[in-house]
Amino acid sequence: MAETTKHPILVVDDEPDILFSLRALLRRDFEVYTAESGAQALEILKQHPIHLIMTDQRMPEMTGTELLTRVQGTSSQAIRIIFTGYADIKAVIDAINHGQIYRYLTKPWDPDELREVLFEACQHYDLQVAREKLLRELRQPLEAGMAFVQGLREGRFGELNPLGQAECERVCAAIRDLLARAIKVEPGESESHEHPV
Amino acid sequence: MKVLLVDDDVLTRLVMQTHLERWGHQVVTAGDGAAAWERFQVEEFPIVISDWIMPEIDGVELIRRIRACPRPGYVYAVLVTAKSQREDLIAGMEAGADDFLSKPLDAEEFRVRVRVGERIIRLEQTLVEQNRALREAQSALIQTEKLASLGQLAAGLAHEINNPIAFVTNNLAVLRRDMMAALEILNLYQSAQARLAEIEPTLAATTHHLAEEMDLAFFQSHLPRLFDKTQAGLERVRDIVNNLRDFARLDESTFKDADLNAALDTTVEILHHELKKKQMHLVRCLEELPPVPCQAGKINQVFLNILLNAVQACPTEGTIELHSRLLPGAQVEIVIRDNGSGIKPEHLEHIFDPFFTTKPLGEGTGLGLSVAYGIIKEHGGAIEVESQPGRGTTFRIKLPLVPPQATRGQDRFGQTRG
Repeated sequence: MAETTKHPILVVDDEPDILFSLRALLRRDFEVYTAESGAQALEILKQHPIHLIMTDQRMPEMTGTELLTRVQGTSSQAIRIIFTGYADIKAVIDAINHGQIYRYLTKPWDPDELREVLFEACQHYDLQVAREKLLRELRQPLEAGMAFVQGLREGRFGELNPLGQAECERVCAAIRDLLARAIKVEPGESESHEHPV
Repeated sequence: MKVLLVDDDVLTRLVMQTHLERWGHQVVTAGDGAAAWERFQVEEFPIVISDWIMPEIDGVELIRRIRACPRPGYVYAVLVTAKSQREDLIAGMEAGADDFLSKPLDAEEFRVRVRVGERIIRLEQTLVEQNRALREAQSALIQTEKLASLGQLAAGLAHEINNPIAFVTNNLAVLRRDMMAALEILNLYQSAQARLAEIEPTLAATTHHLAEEMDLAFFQSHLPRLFDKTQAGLERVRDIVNNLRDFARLDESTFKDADLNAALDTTVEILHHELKKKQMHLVRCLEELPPVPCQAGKINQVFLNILLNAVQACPTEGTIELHSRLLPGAQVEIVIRDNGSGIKPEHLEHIFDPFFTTKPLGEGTGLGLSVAYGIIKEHGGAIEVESQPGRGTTFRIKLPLVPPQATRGQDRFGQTRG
């Protein structure tokens, strides 16, 4: 993979050994940032365009789900993943059900599986970004079309018969509807995803 | 009550036997001390009534032998004698006699004296029974406490070990990947060894020497195996931690109604291959059961752990019996019985202890049955085991139809988790 296409990801764990280990595993496929606390993670998110954030659940001060809830509130569109020991499963289930998490992984994780999940997540990020871009790109021609139809209705290009008027109304409504949907896609919003078994 | 009656005089013996049998006793007679002693050694008699003066082994000697014989349960010994001297009585009691009957025999006195003996034997039996019950209760208590504290320890341990296992496993994967890549580079370099010898003879000699010294070829061919073995070892550690976690019930799950007969069938299905491999016979005596509220996955695990042990204990073509029935008092009973090698009595009290195993090192973690124990306790049930070495083992599981409410949302050891 070429250097430039590596996804920037952020790994958060209060144990440096874990960060060191994960960086070693992921350095070849991702641009890896690490943070030892929730606060540090939020700081990094402000400074770098992170595509994926993966955090431990059990940390002092700010737990993983707390961190991800706060990330959800920012403009970051990063895919959120949590990895956890079994004792924290209840908090994680809640977080998943509230749509705050894309995936959860258990500790100890399987290195191959982890890479796969991260690739998949990044793909998901790309799709999300592409969709938003597409909708953004659609917006301009849609708005132009809308203006044209509006002009048509107002008789700027000559008188319309009643049938033409009705047709203009119909097209206008359809475009308005599409635009409304395009606007709806705000950054940071994503659907909740499949539950782990 | 069973009475051993010893008298060398046929008539006296007959008279006494008639009396005793009329009072409802079961009488075994002997004509002399030797015959009585022989009989005593093979049978149990709570009451022995013996004539004093007999050829060879007399009554006192017989009682002395009885007293010296290590047997559970007390024997009430009565000497029948014409002797009434103080010294004689002392000698008789010294030998271990509990009472005396004087000749000629008075039927009324005989009756009340035997009844005293009977009373004492019954008291003694009650005492033994109570003692046994007490000991059982005590050992059950010790077992529970032992497992409770072990459970807490296990919970803490599992959590603490998890992180290091996580990064060590990960580091190993990184090492393997990067080491293999480095080896590839090294191989490319080595292919240029001849060329290197031309340009840099000293460097080529040094690398050659170093490679020989560490046996580079061996290292290269063995490295994958080294990684495999290390990874397998780590996986074993991880499994142990997982089992410990199950034992300590660190994860939550909810009670749902389940058909335990179906659960048994499912588990047997999982073991289908093992059963077939050993040509095992399966006897299935399952009665209809009401739905039992439980954590079905865990109950399956209990069945699996016990059945696995049963299969392993059985010889080829062994038999495993499954029984289920509804018990009075709103509970169900599941019995899993095998005709395998059985459990040694000295192992029996340890089989639910974590890490106790009789399997060869590395084959069993010694956690299967302790996990089963933990799960059943968590369901408010009971698990019991009976075993006879060489004959087989029976596990008896009882589960209530109403699960304990108190344990919900807490772990089994009464601690709420933070």
